Amino acid sequence: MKRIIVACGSGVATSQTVASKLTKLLKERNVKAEVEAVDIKSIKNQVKNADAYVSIVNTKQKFDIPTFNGIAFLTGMGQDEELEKIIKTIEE
Amino acid sequence: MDYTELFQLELMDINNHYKNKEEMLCSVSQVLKKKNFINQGFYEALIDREKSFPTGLELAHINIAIPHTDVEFVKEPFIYFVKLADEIDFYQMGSDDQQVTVSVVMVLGIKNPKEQVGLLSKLMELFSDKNFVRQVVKTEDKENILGLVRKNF
Repeated sequence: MKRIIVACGSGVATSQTVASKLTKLLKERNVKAEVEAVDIKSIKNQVKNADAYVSIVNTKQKFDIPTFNGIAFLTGMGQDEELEKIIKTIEE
Repeated sequence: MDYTELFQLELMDINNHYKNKEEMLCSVSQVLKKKNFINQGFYEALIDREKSFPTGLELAHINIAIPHTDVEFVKEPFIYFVKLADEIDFYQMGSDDQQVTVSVVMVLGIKNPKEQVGLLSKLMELFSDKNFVRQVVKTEDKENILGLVRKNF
């Protein structure tokens, strides 16, 4: 199964919220993927076994996996476009 | 979990003047400390986190900020609601150079992230609602704002 990771600063609020929202949206679209909120401190290791990274922090670091805008899933603004991009990546 | 209980009359700050977010968060932290909701170091942790991971959010009808920090600084879960007399600047979540001028701040005291996972989505839903936002903006009284928030949550 494809794995999507979500990270925010402290892992207490935003990443959990975005992860659960994304899980729900993917389920509605019948896209099978595991979405997990992870700690930003372990992001370097986490990206090694993930297929996509949904980011809520400003990171100048570039990773080898596709990265998406997590704020869209928090505020709902631009959410549909971002969801389409994630689904496209996951289903490739 | 009943999120409405997180909002309390004693944790509401309406129409006060603050020069900047530091002054506002300092005042909020003092009240929280006095009422025993937080541990020593909460304010510093809040400010530090805001620097590395800002929490300003531009929504469709209002700009808000949701400062929060690690669970170790929180004794009892809470939401501290601040409606500002003068808007203050925060940085947009996910950026380090984009400013958002906010009029409502909710300081989130999160103790059990898993239990409170629905909280933030509910807050977002509420503050994305045009009618709700309009009512919050025009209401000046603590009890009425509390009632409004509790009714819609």
